[in-house]
Amino acid sequence: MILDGVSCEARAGEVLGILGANGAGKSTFLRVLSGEVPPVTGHVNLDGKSLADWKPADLARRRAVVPQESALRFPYRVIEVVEQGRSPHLGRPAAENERAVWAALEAVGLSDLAERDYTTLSGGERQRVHLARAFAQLGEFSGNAHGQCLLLDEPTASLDLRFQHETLRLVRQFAGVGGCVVVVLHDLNLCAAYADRALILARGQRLAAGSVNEVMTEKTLAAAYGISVRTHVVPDSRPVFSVK
Amino acid sequence: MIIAAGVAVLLVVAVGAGLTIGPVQISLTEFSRILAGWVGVGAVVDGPAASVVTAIRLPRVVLGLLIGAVLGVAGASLQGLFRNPLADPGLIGISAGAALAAVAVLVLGERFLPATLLAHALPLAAFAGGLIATLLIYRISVRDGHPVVATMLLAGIAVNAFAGAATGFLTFLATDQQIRDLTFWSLGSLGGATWCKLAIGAPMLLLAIFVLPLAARPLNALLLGEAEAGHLGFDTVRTKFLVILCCALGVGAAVALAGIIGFVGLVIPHLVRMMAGPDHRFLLPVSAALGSALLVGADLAARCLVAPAELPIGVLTAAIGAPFFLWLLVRSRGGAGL
Repeated sequence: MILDGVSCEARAGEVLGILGANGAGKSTFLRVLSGEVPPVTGHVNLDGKSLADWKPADLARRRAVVPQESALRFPYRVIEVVEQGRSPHLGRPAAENERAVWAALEAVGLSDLAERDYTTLSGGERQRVHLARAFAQLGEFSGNAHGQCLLLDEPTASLDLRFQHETLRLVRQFAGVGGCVVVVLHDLNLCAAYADRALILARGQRLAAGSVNEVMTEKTLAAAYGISVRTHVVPDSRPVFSVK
Repeated sequence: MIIAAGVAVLLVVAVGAGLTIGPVQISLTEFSRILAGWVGVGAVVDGPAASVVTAIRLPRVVLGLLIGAVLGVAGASLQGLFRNPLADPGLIGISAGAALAAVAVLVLGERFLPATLLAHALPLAAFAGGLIATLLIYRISVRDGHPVVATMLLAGIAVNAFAGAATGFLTFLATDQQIRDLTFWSLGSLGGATWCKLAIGAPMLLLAIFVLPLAARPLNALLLGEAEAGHLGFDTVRTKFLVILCCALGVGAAVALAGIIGFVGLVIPHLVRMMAGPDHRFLLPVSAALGSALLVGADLAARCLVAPAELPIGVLTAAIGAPFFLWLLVRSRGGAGL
């Protein structure tokens, strides 16, 4: 059993951060949420309807996933990768699909690299291509993201400082217009800075869940990671963490 | 667009040359008169030239077109499915599995099957052999939804070796006449083309040629990863099932009709990808067309290079394809691709 009795709720307009040590079940949990792995017992609901009851194409228009690392080894152009995000929208007018693709490229700052060969990009650039693909999948990157879910598995793992923050800022912005975000993060400070709520997993079980301030305590984090963590509470701001 | 037009021109030239050039030279005008008479829109032309065209060259060129198309499109689809540019029906053992089953029918069939059934049992057995090899390779080389390339190629070596050994054993059992037929399987030849054989094999070949391109979009998504394709709303299980079945069907029929013709499925999709990128919506149909052109051209060369004798076409495609394969390996060494 990889996950046992983990329950949580991700809400529209919120970023839910998932924390936990290596092997705690974070990625598996995300795979269950995305519908990739059906739970043995229990259920995942979107809009009160079990994922199993969603048509794959309908689900794909409402939920996008940014993988930790992509298996793509073929020399697609960047724009071709992002266009794949429009696969569930092939019935829409071509102009609308094209607009969505360019808006997504614009949002992640890759418009200039649209014609580049994906396989020649750096790890960070590749990560942003997949983020753009997810935005393109969910619709035009503007206005209203109500009812749409974005799942990300360690999106900042291969990014430098600037793009870590730019990526999470985009994710935050997506939640700001009504989107629902679930993001697996390793960095406590990034989680504290960008998530509204956090779910902490340990050995496949839920250690704690709730608002970032409630959950990310020295005691819980020590239990989750097996190392002492110090919380620095900054007045009127989010907490900052360091290792003792 | 230019690439598609270029491939179309190449195809027309190859077909024209394949029909008119040979030990009996036939001019294009004479050829068109014969063809018109044959299909019933002109006066029927008799004589040796007419029978060369209608009974020998035409079925041979049609067979070359179909088999070249199947090998090209099956190679391209398998490479998409395995997410690996080195997947080739010959390299990973599909052709060898199909050939083994065909040889088994050829050698043992005469003892158990009536002669009328034998002609039909051959392509079916080849299909079954190809299918078993494909499923085996896929099951062995895919772990947690990720194909492991080294495993795929090593498993291909094992399947090829096993099929080779079993074929060798069957050769041991075979009569002298059967051994002559068996060499045909291992080296490949379009020389056995007749309308009758085509009628049996063509439906399987055509099915693969026209159904595989329907999987273009899901194959595009599969290049991102199996989970990613699922997240985009594609039914990946159905796509895999469709591609494996069609490839086994097409390659099985191709092997039953013409033996093992290697490297076409590897080289052709590579050339197309180098010119036009990996989008399967373009890659699959153009690989089929270029495969047709190449095989009809290679068959022409096989007939003419050592005339009046004939080179087995598999010898030619391997002589061109194997160095190309080595070049690919050297070029991509250190790259992320392999």
